[in-house]
Amino acid sequence: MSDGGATFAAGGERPVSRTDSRKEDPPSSLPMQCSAMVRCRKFSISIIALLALVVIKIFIDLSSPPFEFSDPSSSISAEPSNSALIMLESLQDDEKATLAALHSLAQNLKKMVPFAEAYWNMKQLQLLDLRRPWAWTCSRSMAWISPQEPYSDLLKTFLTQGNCRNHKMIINQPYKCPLNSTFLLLAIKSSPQNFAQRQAVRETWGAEKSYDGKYVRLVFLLGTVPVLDLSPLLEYENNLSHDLLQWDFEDTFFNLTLKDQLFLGWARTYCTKAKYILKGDDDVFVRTASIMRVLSSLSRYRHHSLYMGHVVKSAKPYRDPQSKYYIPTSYYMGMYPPYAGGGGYVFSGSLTPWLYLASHFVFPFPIDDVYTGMCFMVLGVKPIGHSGFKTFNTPKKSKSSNCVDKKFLLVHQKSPRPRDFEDVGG
Amino acid sequence: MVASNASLLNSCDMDTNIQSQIKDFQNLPDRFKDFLYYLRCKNHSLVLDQPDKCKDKPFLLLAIKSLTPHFDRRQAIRECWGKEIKIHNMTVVRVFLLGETPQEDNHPDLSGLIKYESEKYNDILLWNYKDTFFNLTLKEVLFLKWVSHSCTDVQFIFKGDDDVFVNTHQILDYLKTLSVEKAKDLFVGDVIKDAGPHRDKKLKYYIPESLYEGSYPPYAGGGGFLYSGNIALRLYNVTNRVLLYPIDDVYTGMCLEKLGLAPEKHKGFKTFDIEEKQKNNICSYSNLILVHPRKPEEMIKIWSRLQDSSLNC
Repeated sequence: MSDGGATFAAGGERPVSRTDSRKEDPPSSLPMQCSAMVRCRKFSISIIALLALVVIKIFIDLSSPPFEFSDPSSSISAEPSNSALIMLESLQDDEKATLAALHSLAQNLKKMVPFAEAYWNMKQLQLLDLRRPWAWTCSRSMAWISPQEPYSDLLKTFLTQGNCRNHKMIINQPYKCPLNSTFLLLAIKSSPQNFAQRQAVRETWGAEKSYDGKYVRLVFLLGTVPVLDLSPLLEYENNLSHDLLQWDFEDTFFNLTLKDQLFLGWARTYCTKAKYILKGDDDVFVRTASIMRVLSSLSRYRHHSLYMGHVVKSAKPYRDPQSKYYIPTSYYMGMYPPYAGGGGYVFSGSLTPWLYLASHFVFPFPIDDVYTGMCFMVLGVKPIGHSGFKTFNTPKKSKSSNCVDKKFLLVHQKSPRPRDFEDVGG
Repeated sequence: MVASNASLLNSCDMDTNIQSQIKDFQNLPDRFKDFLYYLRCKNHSLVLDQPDKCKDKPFLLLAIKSLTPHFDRRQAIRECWGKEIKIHNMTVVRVFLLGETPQEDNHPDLSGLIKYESEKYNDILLWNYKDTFFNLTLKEVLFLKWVSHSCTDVQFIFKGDDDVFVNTHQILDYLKTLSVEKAKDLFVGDVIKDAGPHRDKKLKYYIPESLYEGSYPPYAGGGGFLYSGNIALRLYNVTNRVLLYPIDDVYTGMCLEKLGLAPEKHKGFKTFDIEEKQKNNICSYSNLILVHPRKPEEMIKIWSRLQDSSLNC
């Protein structure tokens, strides 16, 4: 990682995404600190106003669900058809039929992928015409690279190796999810050297415990740092905490897609019954109790087809070669599908095997949350926005303010001192 | 400058008298208040020690200022320029210097991991003081104290940061060439002369007028400097007569001045890095002693390229 920390949060710093997603947010949740500060002052000035607000709040509490979904088109009552998932579930005993169904579902991607000379577009359209799943192989082949545009070393590596996902596990947790008892599995993207961030997560929002009888479990997803032998320290850490999953691949920004795929492969073997999975970075802060409440209040339909977070719609690839998210025009043309920012999003655990299979019909793409969005698109599952997910950088001042928006569920931060956040709301 | 109060010497109680000795005390940023309240507290004890580190009378001791969460930097240093080696009867040993990152300040509890690391690699010195920027001076004093107790026979000491690349072989080559006379009083580094305190409040190095006026004595930049074991012992003796100063390398300069010595400039210490276009040229490192800053992976890369026997610079 070029920036030397665990801050490869997919999602941060992408202005295209940020402006876009702001449109979705209700105004009240926008500049957290400023509006909250102003409100705080007003409260103290006028007791009458306070009383009036209390009355209004009681009225609102009685007449509406506890959290509002920010995307008006996906309110809880308006539930789109989930025929794709019903069909897949009906076919699950017949592998051939399942793959055929996924292949036909993957044609959805044609709406998103314009016919263009770009490398990924051509590969994806070829894949859709193939009528068989993509073979993930580890043979190194030098891919086509445009002579006109700069390709970073990371992107070049991805082009030659991004097709490989048979990496061996170095550290496993085969008993992480005992029987049916996991309600929420926290799958946190970390890097081997981020010992402090992981310990901070364990001690605060990631603690494995029961919330009203519903269990939260924690795993960290790691690759390796090839030149540094951190294995004795990681072994020691894992012997204490039993929450590391490590695979033998280089932990870089463009290998996050690979990390995602390896995790899905793990989850469909070792954690099949988790109700929900929260995938996020190790530098976010999550109000786990609030997320548990939101998830517990979901309808039956949502329970089976949830993909919720900070939704980015109509985003375009970054074209500035200096950007971490830079994608050359000769590599990808068109918009990105709607996706939930990779800093942190939640999805139904029952989707895990389908997501895993869907990835056989989506050509590897180096930006992990965009790739995940493509895979959900194959399944016909649309991301739903929730204004509580603040995966894009919040103003610096508000991070330490006691007047932080009390509605947030997940917020991006940098310091491995999340206890600074624990005083914020209950 | 604050007057020394002998009755409070070495006391670790909060010294509230200090408020009346500094005219704008109440307006100082909190980090200065904390620093001043405990200005005389220097007798912190070792939580993790390496009492046998110097039993073979090392030629060179590498003392690296680190922080608990920097596991990757320490591991990189162990694997490259900080290797404990013995060449032609010259022994090189290594310690990392750490304070505490307490949970009461909302730091995650890494005490088990750092203890394990210390047992595994036998190179961690950790004292029970808070590892803050201003306490780097405390780190310096406690390290000098450790040298005068546990490493009195060391011939030379390199002290530096954990984000620098050091060409250890170049240091050894340089030290071999020194006359006995020169070696005894050696103190070299990237020497800064005629500097004074920064007055911009936004800077990490800001010092208010009420704390220090005038210019600094010549000092070697804290990224890394090299000195004799003999000087270390003399420096420790003088720390009781020089009040702690919040900037560690300036403090060392003050102690040297008290001894009537001055650090000497050596052009091999590049604490402000080398030219951008030279960074990827391995030959630009072969004659250097230190380059700052470098990431762990970069350190290892530069080191392994320098070890290549076919290297022709």
